Amino acid sequence: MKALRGGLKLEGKKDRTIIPWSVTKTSPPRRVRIPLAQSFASPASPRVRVGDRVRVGEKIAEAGSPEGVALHATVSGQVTEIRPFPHPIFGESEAIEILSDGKDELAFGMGKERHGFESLSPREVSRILQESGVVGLGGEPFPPHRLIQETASFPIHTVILNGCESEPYLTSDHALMMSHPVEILKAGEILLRSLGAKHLMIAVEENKEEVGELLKTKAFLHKWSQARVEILPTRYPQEDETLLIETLLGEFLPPGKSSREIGVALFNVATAFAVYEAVAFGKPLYERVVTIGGECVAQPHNYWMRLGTLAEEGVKYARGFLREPEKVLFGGPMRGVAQEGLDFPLLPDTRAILGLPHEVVKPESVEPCIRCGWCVDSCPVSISPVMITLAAEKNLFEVAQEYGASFCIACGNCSYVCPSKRPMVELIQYANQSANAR
Amino acid sequence: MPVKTPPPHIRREISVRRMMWTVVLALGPAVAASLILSGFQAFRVLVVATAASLLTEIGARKVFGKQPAVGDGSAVISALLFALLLPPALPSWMVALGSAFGILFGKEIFGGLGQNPFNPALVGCVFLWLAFPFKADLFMNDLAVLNSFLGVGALVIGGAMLLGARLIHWEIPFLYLGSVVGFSAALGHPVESSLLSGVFLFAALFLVTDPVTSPITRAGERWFALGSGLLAALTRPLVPSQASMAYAILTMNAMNPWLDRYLRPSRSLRLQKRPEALERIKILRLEPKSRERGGPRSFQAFALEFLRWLAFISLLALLLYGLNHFYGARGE
Repeated sequence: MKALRGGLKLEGKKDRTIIPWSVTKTSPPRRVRIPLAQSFASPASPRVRVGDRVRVGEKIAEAGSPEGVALHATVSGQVTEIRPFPHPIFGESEAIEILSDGKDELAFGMGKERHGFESLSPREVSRILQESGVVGLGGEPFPPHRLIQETASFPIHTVILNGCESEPYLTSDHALMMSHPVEILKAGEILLRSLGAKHLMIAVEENKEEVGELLKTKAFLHKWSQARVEILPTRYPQEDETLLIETLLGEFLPPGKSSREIGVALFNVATAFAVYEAVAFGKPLYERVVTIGGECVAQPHNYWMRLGTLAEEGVKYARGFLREPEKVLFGGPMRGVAQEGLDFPLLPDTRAILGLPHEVVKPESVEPCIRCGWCVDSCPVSISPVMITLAAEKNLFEVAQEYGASFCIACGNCSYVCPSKRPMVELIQYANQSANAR
Repeated sequence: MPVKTPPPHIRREISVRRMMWTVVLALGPAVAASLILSGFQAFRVLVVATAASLLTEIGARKVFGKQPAVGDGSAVISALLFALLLPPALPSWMVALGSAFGILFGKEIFGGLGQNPFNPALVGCVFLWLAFPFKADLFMNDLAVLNSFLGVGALVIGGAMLLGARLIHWEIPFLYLGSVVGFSAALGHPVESSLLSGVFLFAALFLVTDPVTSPITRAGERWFALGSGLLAALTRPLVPSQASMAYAILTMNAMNPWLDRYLRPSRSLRLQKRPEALERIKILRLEPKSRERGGPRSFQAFALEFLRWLAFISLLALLLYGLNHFYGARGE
């Protein structure tokens, strides 16, 4: 069987959020803050002014650059402020605040099925996706419309839908695939045709084998023989772009290169679902499935949440915190970003909001390296984290490069297994930054 | 207020301290066997060795200006390993001297936990063997504990504990024992004596698998085990079995940097089977930097390098001297 080298079997801790096998719809939040800068593309330019009334799905900002996408109102109500607000990744960014009126009115013409969406030209699909604001919901570097636009310079032969989710606590993709398997397969079909690719692969892991079987059944019943569902062993970090392509295709993705340069387009299944809704129903991206979980949360589950919802309101859907969390994470415990407070808005690529207690995330004292070599055993990209970090501590950056520092994908396995609790990932990143700075 | 720290936010439930105390626990059966077989004498040796090594560590940490870290248990492991390799009839002052020497010159002088190239327990043993050659008969012939049925059983239980706690890779002890027996057979030495000797089992479970003084990669550890076995088999007709075991492991300890370097896992080596992928890396990779050493080196770095070479050369000299010595003693 195809499998990762190294990798870790992490304790899943997924049962509490996945057991109801569903995604709960939520009432609109009281207010939302939509940051104009959502990813590393240049920020969008606002099209509304303070005091304007907006409805759900109305465009509130125009794409700032060809890579960027339009932004839409995620609740109906009044624009109250446009000014810098706290941002979960950049620290601070310009954002549009909308106060909800609770009516949740939809914008004109939304929610109707688009006739003949199966035969739209790639150009049309790309325009629809950009206008609908579809971006990578799993942290993909390029939004789908950009990949479709640039098939001339980067031809694509394989589309991979990434349904791997091996980090603990996270079940948003699992629940989404369970509820909408046909939609995801159809989205794969749309992407396959608009990108002019030949192969469609859907990767899931053994911890959601039932989803894999479900997708296989649906693909069989609809006679979509080109869709291949792969069920991979559950090992963190299987969902990483580099490693998934290597596992599925045997193709090696060098550091600093994107997958499209080797003819592969990789989308998260959540992105695929957003693509389907945008193309088939003209529904802009204004909500996503989010796991609200962690030991501190009273009712952990998966919820459809409006983008821009503040973390404190998101946590209220799950009946709030049972006790004060030591850390609040946007994303999983291995790669997520810790937040200083709860007034941070939900971004499109935020899979989860986790409240973790002291006993799970307690800080531990750093001891000297005892050369046990566990980091080398667990490294999925075959580098020597121990040598790189020891070299980085002595500022020997050439040695660090010699032991493969540039291949690091920052999965965090070395930090996780280290018995001395050394900050491995930070040291490797320090070595890489210093090597690049020279 | 939640705290903001870089990822990953969860860590495996293990610490150096816990690892070390698990090894101490795994040595428990062997310690118990030695107490049963040799009674108070064994107890005296164990206590004196442990006390001397702990006191030496505390003293050395004070002198070198570091935080005392006695709680990590590594000094206790070294002391127990050292004591189990000694005859119970040894005078207390010699036990204390060897234990202190092993900790000071085997570990603390290199910077303490994790920095020592050589196994402190073996350094202490070799020091005693070479410093008191007139006691050679006592050292070499009275290892009833390790060679007894009870001792071997206790070692096996300890090894099972280490395997169960996943502190050692399962194939390393087998490779080492297989290599000792195999090379002994190939060289025409009596095989059954090496198989029956608890010394090699002891080394296979507790000395070859020591994380600090073995290579970091799994491939390196395998070669380390094979090499230690080969060297031990080569020197077995010349010296008693524990001496051949100790010299072999210390010599392989000195080769660790090379094993670490040449058996490092490499993404580019793994991809050599796929030339087109390798081409892509070559395009991307930074120009190979010249090998020249940049800037003036600090005196400290120079002194450290010098000390390392001195340690290595003196070890080789000790090895040669020891071989000669024991060979001479037998020839008379």
